[in-house]
Amino acid sequence: MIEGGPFPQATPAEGLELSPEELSTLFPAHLVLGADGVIIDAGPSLRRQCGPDLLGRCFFDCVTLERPAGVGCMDGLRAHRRALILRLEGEQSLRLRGLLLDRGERLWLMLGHIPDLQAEAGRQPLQIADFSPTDGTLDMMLAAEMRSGMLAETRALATALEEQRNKAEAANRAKSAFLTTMSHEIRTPMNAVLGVANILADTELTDEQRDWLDVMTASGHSLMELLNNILDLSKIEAGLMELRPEPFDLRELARSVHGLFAPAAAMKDIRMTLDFDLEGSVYVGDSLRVRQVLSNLVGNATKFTEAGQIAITIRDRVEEGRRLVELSVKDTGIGISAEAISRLFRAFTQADSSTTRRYGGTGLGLSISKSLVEQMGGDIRVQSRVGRGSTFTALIPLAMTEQADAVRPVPAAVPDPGGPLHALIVEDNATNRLILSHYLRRMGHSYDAANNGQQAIALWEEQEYDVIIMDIEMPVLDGLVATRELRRRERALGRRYTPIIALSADAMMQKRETALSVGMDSYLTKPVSLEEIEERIRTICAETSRQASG
Amino acid sequence: MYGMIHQALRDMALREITEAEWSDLLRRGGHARPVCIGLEYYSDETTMALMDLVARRLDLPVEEFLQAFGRLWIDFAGASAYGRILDMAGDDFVSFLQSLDRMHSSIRSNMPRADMPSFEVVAADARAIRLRYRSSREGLAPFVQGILAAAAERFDEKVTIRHAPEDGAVRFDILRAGPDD
Ligand code: HEM
Repeated sequence: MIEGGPFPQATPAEGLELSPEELSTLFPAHLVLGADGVIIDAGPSLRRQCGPDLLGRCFFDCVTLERPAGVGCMDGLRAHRRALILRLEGEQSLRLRGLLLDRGERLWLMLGHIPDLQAEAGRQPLQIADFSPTDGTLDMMLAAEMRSGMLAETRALATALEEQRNKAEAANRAKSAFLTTMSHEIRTPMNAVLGVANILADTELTDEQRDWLDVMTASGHSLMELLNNILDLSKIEAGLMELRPEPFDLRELARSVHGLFAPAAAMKDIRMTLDFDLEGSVYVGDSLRVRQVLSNLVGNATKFTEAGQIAITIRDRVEEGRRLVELSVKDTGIGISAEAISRLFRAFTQADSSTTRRYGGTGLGLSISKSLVEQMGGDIRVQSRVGRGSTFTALIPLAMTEQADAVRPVPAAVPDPGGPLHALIVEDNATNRLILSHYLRRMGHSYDAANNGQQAIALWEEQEYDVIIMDIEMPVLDGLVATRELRRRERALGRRYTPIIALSADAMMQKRETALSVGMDSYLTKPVSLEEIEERIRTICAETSRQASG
Repeated sequence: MYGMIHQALRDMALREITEAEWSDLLRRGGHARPVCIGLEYYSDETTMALMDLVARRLDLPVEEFLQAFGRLWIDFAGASAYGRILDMAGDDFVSFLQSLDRMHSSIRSNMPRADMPSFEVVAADARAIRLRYRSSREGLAPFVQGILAAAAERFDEKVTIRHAPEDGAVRFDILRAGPDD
């Protein structure tokens, strides 16, 4: 007790006398020691835990003192008079902590349990009643249990989430694979339909028949466009979309897109303008995809605008050390509500489904464009007001380059290799064979036809061809193996090099690469038009004869 | 009430219905997420609405449903992180009942939004226990009855339980069948 100190003396807890029950409730684990260190009383918790034998035993015989350590007699305990930590050894070892009260003859040890938090469930001997209601230890124990419970719950949730994600990804892959297969399956007969329509167009037709044929061809082309979109989308979703950056003329590209859509706009009395605010002309990027994005934006604007004008602006600027090209398309069309904008870029959703009915289309184009632009490291933004019109802006990081001669030449005027050619058509599908032979006849060439690679090699063994048009997917011997074999024999026999044009239903970049790597000279994706095949034959043959002579 | 009650409801429901049907019940009960988190607090209306949906889906009258849910509750809590505190509640049925308030107040210190019931052992001998249950909620006496029945089984006691309102609380008379009965 501090006497005469600076603090006012505490009022003694007068009247606070505890009944034995109250003492037992407040200190269920107390001990009372006699002068000789004999335990003369114990709280209900210790009696229950250690049995009645506890009373009468010497405190120092059944206790290990952790604090004060090494004390072995009453005087030592008295001298310490501070916080105690001890272990009561018995059937079960109990760890206790508390305070010592020196009451003359007797020492009162007001203790509480320190539970073993590591003890396995069921091995914990303590019960709720062993703790004083004023002791927060129980709450702490529970908190520890709850923490591990929460951890288990979080882990279970994370596992469930991962499983669901895996399932969703698998389903998505299955969907992509299905779409890819389906599009290929549809492409082949569509190819035949368009080819035959092309042949029909070359025959004598009444005006009415020609109108019908135009409808048929236009529908066929829009179906092919849809298939291409689906293929693109499944490629994007499967992470297989590859970009092929190379220098290209951006102004030229924009002019050609403008040239493509301006007539359709003019038919609706819409003025379509094209403006440049560019530092250069030649930029490095995947021109095919940049063109696809711009075409999509301009195409949409043309589709959704009934009057007014469409302004295409191509700008560039340097931002944070990189050059950003901005393709902006501003229209005075129907506009899009803020709510609809949020759904705009998701596959298979247009601003609202009635739009699909009125203007046609699946809304795939925009989500493809967005994915493409994002893959190029850019972004597409929309500003729109219902009834006023919309501005779509694609921001694409594209480096500018000076080397104008690096631009891939536009195969405009290909020299005619001169004279009719003798070609070999290698194609297993009868309709496609028919179409190709019609094309060749139209061009004034002669031809032979083979059903597969093996027949093709046999024919080539017998005679020279100026060009071979070879399907890739064929039974018996496919186009890739056949080409490799032809090239080997050419070298072995010292025969003239025959250009080979590959035909495939597969628009994937890898397929193209494989075809070129086995020795094919060019690659066309079905369906091919007369113009395409004509242009390709000319280019390839001109190239081959130039190399042969040069 | 806290989400762990909803989790127990889910356990109960999944004995009879599929995961998909459970998700549907949650949706109809106004839950935004397809899972209930144990330490998340839901309003009593939400909890009661979910109980009602489950009862109806399992085609049980509310009283019967609450009793069955009470029986399941002990097993559910025993298997959860609260298993240890349940084990610490006493070696016999009476001390278990006497510990209920301490147990709930420890739980409450970790679930600060809980509105916990209170239980008082008014009298106990070898033949009967009289227990008083107080709650700010109404209509949960059958739930308590279910818990008590399952708790008695934990201590190998066969009991018959009756309850009746008394002084704004509910009085439970638990008749114990002695070892010879
Ligand atoms: C470890 C076991 C237990 C745990 C973890 C536990 C936990 C809880 C929790 C979290 C609540 C909800 C309170 C709220 O969110 O507002 C609750 C309510 C309740 N508990 Fe327990 N409890 C346990 C055991 C028991 C037992 C053995 C009884 C025995 C009768 C019981 C009777 C009740 C009742 C009747 C309610 C409903 C609330 C009310 O009546 O107002 N609980 N308990």
